[in-house]
Amino acid sequence: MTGVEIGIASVILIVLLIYAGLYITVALGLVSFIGVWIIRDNFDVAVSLLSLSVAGTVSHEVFATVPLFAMMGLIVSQAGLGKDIYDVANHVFYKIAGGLGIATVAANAVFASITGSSIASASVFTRISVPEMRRFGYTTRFSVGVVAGSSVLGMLIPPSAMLIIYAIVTEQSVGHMFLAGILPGIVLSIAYGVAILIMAYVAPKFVGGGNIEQGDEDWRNLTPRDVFMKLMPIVALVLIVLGGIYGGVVTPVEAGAAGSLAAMVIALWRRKMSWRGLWEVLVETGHITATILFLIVAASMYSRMLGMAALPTLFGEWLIGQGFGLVAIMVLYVALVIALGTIIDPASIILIVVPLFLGVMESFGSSIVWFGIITVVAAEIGLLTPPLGISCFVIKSTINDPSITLKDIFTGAFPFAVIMLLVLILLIAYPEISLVLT
Amino acid sequence: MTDPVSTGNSPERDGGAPRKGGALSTLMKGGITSLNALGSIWVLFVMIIVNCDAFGRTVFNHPVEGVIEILELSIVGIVFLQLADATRVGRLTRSDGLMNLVLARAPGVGRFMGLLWEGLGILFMGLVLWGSVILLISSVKNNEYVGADGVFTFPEWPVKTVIVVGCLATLLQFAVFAVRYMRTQPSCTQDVADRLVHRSAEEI
Repeated sequence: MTGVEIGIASVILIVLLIYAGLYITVALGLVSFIGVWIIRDNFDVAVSLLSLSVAGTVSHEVFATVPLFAMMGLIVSQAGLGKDIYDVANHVFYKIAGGLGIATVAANAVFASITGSSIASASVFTRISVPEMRRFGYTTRFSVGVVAGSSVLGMLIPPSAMLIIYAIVTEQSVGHMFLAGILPGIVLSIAYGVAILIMAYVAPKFVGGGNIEQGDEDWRNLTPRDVFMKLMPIVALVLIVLGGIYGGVVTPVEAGAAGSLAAMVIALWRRKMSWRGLWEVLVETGHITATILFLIVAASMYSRMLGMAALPTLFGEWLIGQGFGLVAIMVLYVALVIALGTIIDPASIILIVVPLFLGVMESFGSSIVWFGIITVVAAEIGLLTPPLGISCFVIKSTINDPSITLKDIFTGAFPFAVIMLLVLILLIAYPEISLVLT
Repeated sequence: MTDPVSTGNSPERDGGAPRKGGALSTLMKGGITSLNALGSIWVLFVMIIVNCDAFGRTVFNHPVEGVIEILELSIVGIVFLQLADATRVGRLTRSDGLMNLVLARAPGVGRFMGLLWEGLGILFMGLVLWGSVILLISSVKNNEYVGADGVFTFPEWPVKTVIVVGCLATLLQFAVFAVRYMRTQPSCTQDVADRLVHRSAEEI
């Protein structure tokens, strides 16, 4: 077997093992180990591939962004900021058809700019906005669908764990990736909002709603002062995180640390944080960090193995040799990512697929930052699709109501997955949307 | 919402198994959660020191020496202190849709698959552990350190030790799962999602 054949066999074996249920880190690490052992015909080299990756891969300052932004998101969720954003959004949108749905999207978009995780967004807004929407006659499927659909904004609008992971894998600046995520996130939010408005007129039976005129919810009669008080902490956090990075005052690591500290101050000030709450945040931060970074360690074993097999270079040459243009390769790539996304989580997809395609993109002179946004959006579509749409699972377990089935959630989320795909095509066709701010 | 069982420890990964294991497994759980606690405090320390550096540099024009080196060591330390506990609570990423299907249709085959995967986990961690012990020994022998001479230096061996301990603990955790697969049926994806929610949506 030549190196390339071993490389190809390894990639296929890894995907099969992951489908069969092996831990993704173990699949990546163990297969890469065997691959290197065969290619180099040397057991010690293969062992040092593992140990050097373990000791060296994450030993870099930029990886501190992972725990720091995770911690910030967790504290913000505890501090109840999601409810405040939703109140203000409802106050703005409730008179429009489908207004509570649009408000959910808007609130998610804002919440996404202070958290980096779709899971946090999904669970927070399942609690806040699903009961409210159902109370006003929106159908269950639409209510959970909106929450699922808009939860993906959490990983697109910075700070975002996925953008950090992509930046690390491709050695791009985290700050650039964050800035590139802003406009696509806004475009996707607007597309969702417009689609909800259209659905409310075209398919009123799917959406439901109406009869919004009476009631005594506190979000109906917010004074400008209320709005200011509810939005001020969020604006402050956004300014610290994005303003700091955009203005070049602080590095992404410092923005994460300052954001966490500020979120903690807000949580303490609102008496939403106990010692136990803080401890839970720290433990959860640790779990997220260990999971994501160990995955990155395993992925670095994998990409080193691919490098030894010379697969990325040859794969790129082969693709171009077949006469594929950039468009054809992008179609192929997006189809592959979406197919993997039905069963593998976004972070793992990025780590498996990006090393294979990065060389091709570079040889076309495409922007690696733009390619990252495409990758993240394509991988996130998988959060909404069966059989393993993580966002839908999180909603199902948060909602804790046996009458709402996973099928309801997947059905409700489907229109939003389609809109994501349309926006993805838009983002591919117009790279400027991603690149104009960077 | 409040999580009734949370004292910093997440709910154990077992699908309602009647047997909780003996003294050995209790001891191991204690050890792994202690590592986790240490890692959690380290996370807080990282946040504080980065803030001190940022404020010190911008406001007082006086940065904290060696922050970058401290961060580099800290990230590795946090990952390996937390790895075993993240594994214990079922957070290590996997796609278990197919396996749950097999477990439901043909429990024997499903449990064999589960056992096989935990076994491969043990094998993988064993290889990593072996390589890491070699690195630890060489770092002690050669007095390896990070940082620049005369400014800030820190020896390599403590963090290399943390890697070895973390890998060993994770290996043992895979072994616990393997034993459990021989005795009972494990949790499914929905349980994992439940746990994620328990963690991330307190007191809305």
